[in-house]
Amino acid sequence: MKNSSDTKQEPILQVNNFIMNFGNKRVIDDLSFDVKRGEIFGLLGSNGSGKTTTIRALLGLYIPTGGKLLIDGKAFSPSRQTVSLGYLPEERGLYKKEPVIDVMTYFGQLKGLSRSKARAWSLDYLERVGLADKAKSKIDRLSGGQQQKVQLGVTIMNQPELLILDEPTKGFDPVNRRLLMDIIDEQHKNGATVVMVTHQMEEVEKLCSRAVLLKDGKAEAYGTIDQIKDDFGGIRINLRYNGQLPKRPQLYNITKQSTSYAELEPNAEVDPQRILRELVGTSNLDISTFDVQRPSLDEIFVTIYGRSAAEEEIKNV
Amino acid sequence: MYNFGTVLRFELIRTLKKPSFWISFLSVPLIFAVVFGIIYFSNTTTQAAQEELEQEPFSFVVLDDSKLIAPATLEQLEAETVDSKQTGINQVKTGQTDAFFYYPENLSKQPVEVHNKSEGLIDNAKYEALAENLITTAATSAIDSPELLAAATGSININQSYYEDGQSVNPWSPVIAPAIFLVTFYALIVFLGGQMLTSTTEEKENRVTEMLLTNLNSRALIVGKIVSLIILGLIQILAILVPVLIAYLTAREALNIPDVTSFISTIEIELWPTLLGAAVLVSGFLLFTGLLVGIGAAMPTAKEANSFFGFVIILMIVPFWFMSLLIIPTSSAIVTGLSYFPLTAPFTLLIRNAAGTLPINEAIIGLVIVTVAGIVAISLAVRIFRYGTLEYGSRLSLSSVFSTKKPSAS
Repeated sequence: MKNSSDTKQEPILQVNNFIMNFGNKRVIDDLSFDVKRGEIFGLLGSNGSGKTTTIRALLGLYIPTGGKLLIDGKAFSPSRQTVSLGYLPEERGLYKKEPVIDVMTYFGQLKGLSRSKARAWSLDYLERVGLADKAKSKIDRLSGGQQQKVQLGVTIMNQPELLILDEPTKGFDPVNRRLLMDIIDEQHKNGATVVMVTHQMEEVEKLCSRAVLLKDGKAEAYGTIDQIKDDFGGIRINLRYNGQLPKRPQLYNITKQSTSYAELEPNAEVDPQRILRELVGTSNLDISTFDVQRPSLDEIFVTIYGRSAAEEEIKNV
Repeated sequence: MYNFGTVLRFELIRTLKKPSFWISFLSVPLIFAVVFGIIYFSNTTTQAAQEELEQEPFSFVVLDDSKLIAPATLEQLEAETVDSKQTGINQVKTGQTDAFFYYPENLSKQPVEVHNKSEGLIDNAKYEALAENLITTAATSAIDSPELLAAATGSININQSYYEDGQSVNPWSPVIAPAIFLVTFYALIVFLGGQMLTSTTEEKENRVTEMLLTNLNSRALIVGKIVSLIILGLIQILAILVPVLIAYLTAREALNIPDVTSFISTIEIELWPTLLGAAVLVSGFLLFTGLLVGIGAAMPTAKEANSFFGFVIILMIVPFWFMSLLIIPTSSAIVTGLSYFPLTAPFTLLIRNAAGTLPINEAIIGLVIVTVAGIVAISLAVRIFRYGTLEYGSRLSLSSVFSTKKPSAS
């Protein structure tokens, strides 16, 4: 584990020294992290790194080999929950032979709403997502995209305080991906805590304040997105120029170079401003742009899991 | 059980709303009604046709080498006699007469011959009937005593009485009540088996399990499903019985339904066999339910689960092949084995209990075995459902059921 957040907020979700064995194989090894109330948290990792296993153990679907997984200070139990939960599993579906409104009402009731409130909420939601005329249709008569909308509705019924989304955009078309992002944003603004298990680093970068990156069941990185970037990539200078770019190994390494463009990796403790001063003072060199950038999460993902794993993840999205 | 009521209501209402539910079980009495209707119509039509044919006069000639048929009888029927078989056959062939009956000298060794013009299957039967009637009438008319005549024709009544410990008993009276449990168990398997098997495969096939299990525990879901199936079974039974009962009470005579009050009065309810029958029914049902729900949860699809379902059903009904051994008082290794093997025990115990051939020690041991097996089966089913249904698209291995390990990680 590289870093930990220093926020003073009380965690809504705690994973302490979580160990999980499948047979003789240890798939999660001493994993610890927590999620603060009201934040959007990313649980990242390649296939088989233990993300879904962690979520399933957190929700009581698996019995952990060791450690504690707590929601609002308690092990999860449907009947003793003090925090309302919205869960979108990676493997998801609905009762396909039943009418949309019946299925939504059923899940609303399971989440603690009265039958009339669940029905009313469902009809409002269907109206909002343009499926009001499909309320009495059987789910298998809906298109894939329409079914995804219903699935999302079921997930956010009863205004969940904790929203756990396992690979939320998996299989979603662009329209529903946008709808999902809007819903996450809306739920977050309403005070919900969101845990996202995803391969979409762009979305993590855009939405999440903190994240944990799992590799082979261990936390490879943990903290705010900026902390993770600092730990795994430092900074990078994108340079556009005319003339002769000098090599200064005591200040930087040139990681990419063409006739008028170069990417520089500053050495540790070297301020980019110092590099800029040095280059400006170099004869036969005109600097047109000097852009200091942090690496993207995509690049960090490649750094941690290797290029082949990253390519596999992209295929799975 | 948290959310049990919600599950029960959802499962009940969604099944009752399906036309297939009503069609599937109402089709059974409907098919019976149609079949009986066809048989009744066919019999009535045939009988009417037969009566109509009998009214039609036809001519026939006779050669009676047995000398049993009185000439006066033939004269009364306006039948002529012929000298030889060939003459009679020729008369039929040339159309001079409709039929020729030949009665051989020794009726016990040689057949009566009937030659007639062909008039189709039904019409041809009238000639055979008349030929037979002529000779039997001739034979019985030779007996002077009506008692001998009754004995010879089998027209006698036998009243049989049974005694046990010096008391007159009806051996069927105590059988009926325990047999009701046997019939009920069989009906439960027939009506509910398929539904129980597929009750959990639906969640697995549709990948609903994870969302469900974060809102309720697996025990509430399974028990809710089982209770809803039992209620649906009762609704099915009531939907068939109530109209029959109403018809019996309001239009028994008009519909020519037999009076069953005398039959009901003969039913004798003995405490121990009745209690045992009820206990085996409940524990057997638990075992049966646990097995089917467990199979359904472990298999990836309903189709695959069905092949295992067939295997379980065959094992459970094996005792019917040994019925003759089960209803005799003498026990044997096979009977004991069937009584103690969990899958065959329910039907074996119920059959032996109804037949009164189940010793108390074997009854207790068998009942304990079925009850324990039933509780284990239900517990396993809940466990298999909890973990097996998360293994979408794959079978669950037994090792993963008995441990806390789960087969896949992501």
